[in-house]
Amino acid sequence: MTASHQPDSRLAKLRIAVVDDNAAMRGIVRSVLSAFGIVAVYEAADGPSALEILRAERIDMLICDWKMKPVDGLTLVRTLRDPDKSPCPLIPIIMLTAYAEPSKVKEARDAGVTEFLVKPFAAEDLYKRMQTIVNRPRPFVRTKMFFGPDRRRLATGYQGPERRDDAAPLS
Amino acid sequence: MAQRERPIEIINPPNMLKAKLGGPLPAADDALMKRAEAALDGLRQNFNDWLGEEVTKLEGLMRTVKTEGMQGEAGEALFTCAHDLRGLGSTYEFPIITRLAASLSKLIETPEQRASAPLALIDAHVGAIRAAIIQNVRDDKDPVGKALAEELEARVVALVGERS
Repeated sequence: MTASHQPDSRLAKLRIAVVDDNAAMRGIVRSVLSAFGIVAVYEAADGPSALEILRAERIDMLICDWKMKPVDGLTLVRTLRDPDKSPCPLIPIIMLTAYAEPSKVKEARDAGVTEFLVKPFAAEDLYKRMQTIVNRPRPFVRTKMFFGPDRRRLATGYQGPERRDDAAPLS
Repeated sequence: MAQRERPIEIINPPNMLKAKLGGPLPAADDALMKRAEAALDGLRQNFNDWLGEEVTKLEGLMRTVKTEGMQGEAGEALFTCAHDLRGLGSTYEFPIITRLAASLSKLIETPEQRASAPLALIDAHVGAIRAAIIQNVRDDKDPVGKALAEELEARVVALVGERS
């Protein structure tokens, strides 16, 4: 696991962990995040290493591959969403995977993934996922069978100003 | 419509990220995206080598399954490698490899599929991926590459069907 440091920006305050068993892909994600100005990018090649990072550091967001050994990304997500086992059950998780089938998106969502992004990814799409996480976070839902971000939110794709946040109250 | 599980507890955690960043994230601007492009440009010189390594790995796994069979770890390792190539091909500027690897992944995703997938068809995908690199066929604008991809995809769909 490693951390990199790049020039300042507003996003420089974010601490992001990238979990992927492919070192080149980790490097590509790291490069894009660094271009966004993100200061601290932590890398892990598998789920157990990711958990070590998440226990040791205050990570703001996780970018996670699906197909990994010995623990796949989905199992890692389920572990992280287990309030009894997780160091950070509320952490936003972007699943970055070559899977593109709707059934896989649903499976990831049901495991507790916050956002889903298909490889190969465009830098702009990664930014938009991060923007959604920051600007329009999902409430969390706890049932007997599930703990994770609300799975019902409609993806409107709206990226404009949040007028409701600064609207004047009606008198 | 599916019923929601009950009881349901809705939790609205404070938006710590927005507070940490001092407000909402603005929409991505051109300068930011150009910086990201430039960062990827810096890696671009490695793309051919990295892709070559992945394809060499795929070929090695193909040799292994020819002796050990598609069931067990060898078949799963081949699927994992094909799945990785599906994600990496376009990143490394070979979208046709993403397409071919997606077709191969679809053919051998589950242990049941691997048990019945024709070895010759799997091998044809691996060969097509290598040929794309050798011939520098990057996308389906190349008529031969396009025809090959379509033929392989059709054969896979005929065996495993369309999946979503």
